[in-house]
Amino acid sequence: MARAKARRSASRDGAGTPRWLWPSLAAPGTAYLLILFLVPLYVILAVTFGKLDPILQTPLPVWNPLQWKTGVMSFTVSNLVHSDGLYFAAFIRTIVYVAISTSLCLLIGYPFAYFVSRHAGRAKALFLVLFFAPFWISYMLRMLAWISLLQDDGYVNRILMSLGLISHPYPFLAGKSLTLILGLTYGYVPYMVLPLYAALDRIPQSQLEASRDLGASPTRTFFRVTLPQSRQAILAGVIIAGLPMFGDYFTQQLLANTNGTRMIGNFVVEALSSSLLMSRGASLILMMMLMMLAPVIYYLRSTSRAATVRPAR
Amino acid sequence: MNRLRDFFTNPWGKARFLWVVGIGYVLWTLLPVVNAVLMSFNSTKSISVWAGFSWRWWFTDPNESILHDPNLRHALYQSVMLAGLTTLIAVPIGVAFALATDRWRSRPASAANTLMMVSFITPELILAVGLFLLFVNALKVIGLGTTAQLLGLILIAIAYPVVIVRARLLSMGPEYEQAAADLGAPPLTVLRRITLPLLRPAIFAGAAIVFAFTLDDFVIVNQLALDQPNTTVSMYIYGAARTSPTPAANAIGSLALFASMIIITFAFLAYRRSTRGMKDEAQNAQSVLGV
Amino acid sequence: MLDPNQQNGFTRREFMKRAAAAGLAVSGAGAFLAACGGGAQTTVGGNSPAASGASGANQFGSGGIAGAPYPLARPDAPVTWTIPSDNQPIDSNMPPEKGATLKIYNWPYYLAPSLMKSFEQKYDCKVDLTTFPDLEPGVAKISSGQTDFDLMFGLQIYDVGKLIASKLVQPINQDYIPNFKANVWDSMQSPFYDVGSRFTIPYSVWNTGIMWRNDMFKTDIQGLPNPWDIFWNGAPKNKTHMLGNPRDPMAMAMYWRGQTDPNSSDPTVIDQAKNDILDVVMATNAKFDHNDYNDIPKGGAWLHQSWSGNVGSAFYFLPKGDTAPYVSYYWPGDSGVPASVDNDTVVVLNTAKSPVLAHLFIDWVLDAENALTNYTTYTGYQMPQKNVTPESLVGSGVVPDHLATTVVTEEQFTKGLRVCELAPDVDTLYQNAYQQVQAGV
Repeated sequence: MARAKARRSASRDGAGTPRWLWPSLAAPGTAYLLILFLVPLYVILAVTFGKLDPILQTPLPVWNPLQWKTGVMSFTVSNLVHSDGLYFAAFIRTIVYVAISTSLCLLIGYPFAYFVSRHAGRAKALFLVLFFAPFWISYMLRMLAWISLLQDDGYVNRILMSLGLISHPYPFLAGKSLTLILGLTYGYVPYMVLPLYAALDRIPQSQLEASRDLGASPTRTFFRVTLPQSRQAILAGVIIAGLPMFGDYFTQQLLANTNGTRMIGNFVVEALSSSLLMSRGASLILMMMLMMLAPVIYYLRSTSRAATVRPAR
Repeated sequence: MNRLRDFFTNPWGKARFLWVVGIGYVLWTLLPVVNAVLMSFNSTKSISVWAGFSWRWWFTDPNESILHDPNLRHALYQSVMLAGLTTLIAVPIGVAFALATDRWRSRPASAANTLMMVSFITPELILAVGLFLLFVNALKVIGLGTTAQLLGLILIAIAYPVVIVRARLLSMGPEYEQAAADLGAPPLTVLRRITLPLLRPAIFAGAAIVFAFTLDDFVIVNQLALDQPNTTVSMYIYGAARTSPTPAANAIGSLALFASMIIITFAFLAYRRSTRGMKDEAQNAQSVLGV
Repeated sequence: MLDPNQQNGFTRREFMKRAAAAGLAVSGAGAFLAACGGGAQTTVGGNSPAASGASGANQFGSGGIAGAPYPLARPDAPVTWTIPSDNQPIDSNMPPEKGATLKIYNWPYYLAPSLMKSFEQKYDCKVDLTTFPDLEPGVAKISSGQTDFDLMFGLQIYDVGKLIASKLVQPINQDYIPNFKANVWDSMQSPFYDVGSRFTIPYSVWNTGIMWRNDMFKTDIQGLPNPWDIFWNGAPKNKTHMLGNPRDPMAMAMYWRGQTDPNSSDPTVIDQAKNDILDVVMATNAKFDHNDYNDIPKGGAWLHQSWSGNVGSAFYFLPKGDTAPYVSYYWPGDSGVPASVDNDTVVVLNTAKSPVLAHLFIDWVLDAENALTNYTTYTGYQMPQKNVTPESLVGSGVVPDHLATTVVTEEQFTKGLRVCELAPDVDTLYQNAYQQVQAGV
C-alpha cells in the first residue's frame, strides 16, 4: 500500500505514466508562447536599440546587444520624464484617466457585485447572464452605441434638453475628458465586477448573520467583515480592469479624438504607422512593459498562491 | 425625507438601494447596445435620429446593405473565419497545456504556467506591437495579413481554455482517473476514456468563449492587418465610426452579436446538461485566475 | 500679386535660364514650376544650410540638392532618376495579364468606382482597392516591403525619391500610356521631381487653402490682406481643424509669417512654425485631420485648412442638387500671399503581379472622359487635363459659382509654392515639431 502510494507520489496520475506524456502535451502551448510571446519581446528590444535604413528610414533591428544604439531610448525616456517632453502630458493624462476610470469602475462595480451575490435572490441567474453579456458583445459595438447616443442630435442631448438641463446640445464627442473617462469606465467595468462578485459570493451568509447577532450595525458589518475579505478581489479587479486601459487608444479615437485627450497608446500606434517613428513606438512599448512589471508580478504571485489553496466548499 | 431614508436603509428589507443599483447597472450596460441594434433598422443614414423602420442596411440598399456590399460581407467572413480557426487551434493546445501543467508538477511546468499567466495579463497592445514588429522586421516570410492575424488571435485565446479546463480539473478531482488506473488502464487510455469525456463541458465552454472573444477582437487584428481583405467586423465598425458611420455599421455589429449570442447560448446549454453545477467550476476558475 | 522680381532674389529671367538649362519645357500659358525657394535658396530672414547650391547627383539620379543618399528634387533643381539595370521597365507590346486581380493602394474616395468597374469589364480582370488613412501610414506599409500592390495612387512628390531609390517603384513604359502625352498638361510632362516622367505619372492637382462655413462665422476671409491670419485671429473654438500631416500645417504657419520656403531646413524657422501652430491649438482646441469633406457640411468644423479637391469631395456626400451655398473656399495665393499648390502621382510598384494591366489602368484613368468623370462625379480633385479649362468647369455647372475658387489653373502653379522631399535629418525636425504640436508642448 505504501509502495503504491509512493509510486503515485510524484504526480497525481496513476503509476506507469510515460515520461514523455505531460511534457509533450505542454510542448505546443509552451512553444507557441516562446515563439510568439517571448521572441517578440526581444524584437521590441532589437528595434528600440537598432538602426534606421538610410533611404527609407525604416527600422533595422540589431540583434547583438553589444551593438545596440541608445539614441531612441534616451529620446523616449527624456520625453516621458521632462515636463516639456513630447509624451509627458499624455503619460500623466493616461495615469489620471486610468485612475479615475478604475475608481469609477470600483464605485459602480462593487455595489452591483454585492447586489448580485447577496441580494438578487431568485433573479440571481438572470442578473448573472445579463452581467456576462458585455463580455461577448463587441467592444466596438458598445462604443458605436455611445457615439450614436452622444451625437449633437442623439438621445442623450435630447433628453438633457427636454429636461431643461441644457439649452444647446453639448458636444460630448468633441474631445471631452469626461466622455473618455465614462467610455473607459463603461468598457471595462465588467472586468472589475468579475473578481468582486466571486469574492463576495464566497462569503458565507452565516458570517454576516453572526456579526449582526453580536450587535454590529450593517455598516460595521460591512467594514469589519465584508470589506476585508474582498480586499484581495478589489486589488485583482483593479489590475484586470485597469491594466488594459493603459494600452487603450481606440476609445480615445472614437469618443474624444483631439490632441488634448491623447493617451500614451495613441503615440504608440501612430509611431508604428510611420517608417521613421517605428523605433520610437517600440521604445514606448518597452517603457510601458517596464511600468507594468510591478502589477504583473503582484498578479502572478497571487495566482500561484491562490491556485494551491482549495476554495472553501 | 426620513421615510425615504428608512425605506432604503431597512436592514431586513429587500435592500432596495441595491436593487436600484442592480437594475440601473444592467440598464446602463445594455440599453445603449439595444439602441445600437435598433438603429441598424433606421431608414435614413443617421445613427442617432430614428426616422422609421427599414431593412435598408440589412438587405435592400443596393450598394451599402450587408447583402449588397461585398466589403461588409467579407468583413463578416473574415471575422468568422478567424474566430473559427482560432477556436479549432487554440482549444486543443490550451486543453493539452492545462492537463500537462495540472498533472506534471515540476519546475518546467510551473515556469510554462507562469509564462501563460503573464501572457494572459499583459495588455493586448503590448502583444500586438510585439507581433507587429516581429512580422515586419524578423519573420518577414510570414509578414502581416491573415496568417499574422490568426497567429495573434491564437496567442491571446490560448489562456482561456487553460483556465477553464484547470478549474474543471480542480473540481473534478483525480479520483476517477486513479480508479481507472488502479483497474489497470494505461495512462493514454485513461486520458482518452475518462479524462477527456469528463472535461467535455469545460472544453465546450472554452471553445465558446474563445469563439465569442476572438470574433470581436480589435487590437490584434487591426495591428496585423495588411490590406482591405483583412478587415474584420470590429475593424470595419472602427473605421466607419471614425469617419461617417451609417447604420450599416450597426447592422454588421448586430449580426456579429447575434452570432455570438447563438454560440454562447448553445454552449451554455450543453455545459449545463453535463455538469453538476456552475458554482464549483466558477470558483475554481477564479482561483486559477488568482481572483 | 507676388512680384516675380522679388521672389527670393531671383528674377524671372534667371529662372527661365535655369529652366532652359535643365531642359524643361515651359508652356505658353506660363511656367508651371514656381521659382520658389528650394533648400539651396536663401529664405526670408534666415540663412541657408550647407547644401546651398550643391547638387545631389549620385548613383540614383542627377540633379537635385544634397542631404540624402539620393538627390532631393526642388523646382529649381530638378532630378533625372537613373534607371538601374536591375530595375528596368517592362517591355512594350505585351498582352494584358489574363484573369488577374489588379491591386490598387489609394486614399479613400480617391478613384471613381465606375472607372474600376469599366476597366474590369474591358480587360476581363478584377480590380481590388485597399485604402490608407493618410500618406505616412501608406508609405510606411509600402516601405515595409510586405505589400503586394500593383499601383499606388496619390503618392505625393515629397515621398517619391525614397521609393524610387529603394527600388520599390518600377520605371514606367509610356508606350502603354498614350493618354499621358495626349491629354495631360504640357507643363506636367517632365516635372522637376521626375524629369521625363520615368517613374511617376501625375494624378491630381490642387491648391491648399481655407474652407469655411460662411453661415457659421462671418469674417470675410477672402478680403483679408493675409487670409491665413484667420487661424490666429478669430478662429472658432472647437470648430477649427488643420491638415493632419507634418508638412501642411507647418507650411501654413510659415506662409502666415511670409516665409516662402516650406522646405526650410532652418531649425529656428521650423521651431517658430511649431510655436505658431501651438498657439492656434491652445486658442481653439484644433483637430488635425483631412475629414473636412464630412465635417464642414455636417457642421463639425467651421474652419478648415483644406486641399481644394476636398471641397469637391464634399459634394459626393451631399444630396444631389445641393450646391452647399454655406461652404466657401479660398486660396490665399490669389491674394499674393505665400501658399502651396501641389500635384500627386501614381506609380507602378515593383511588387506588381500585373504590370501590364497596371500601365493600362493608368492610361484608362487619363482618358479625357474618364478623367472628367473621376473628377466631377467622385473625387472632386481636378486632373491636369488639357481639354478641361476652369471656364468650362464653372460654366457647365460642374463647379458651383461660389466655389469657382477651387479650380486650379496653370497660372496658380506659377505663383504657388511646392512642398518637396526633405533630407532625413530635416524630416526628423518636422516630424518632431508636428509631434510636439500634437502633444501640446
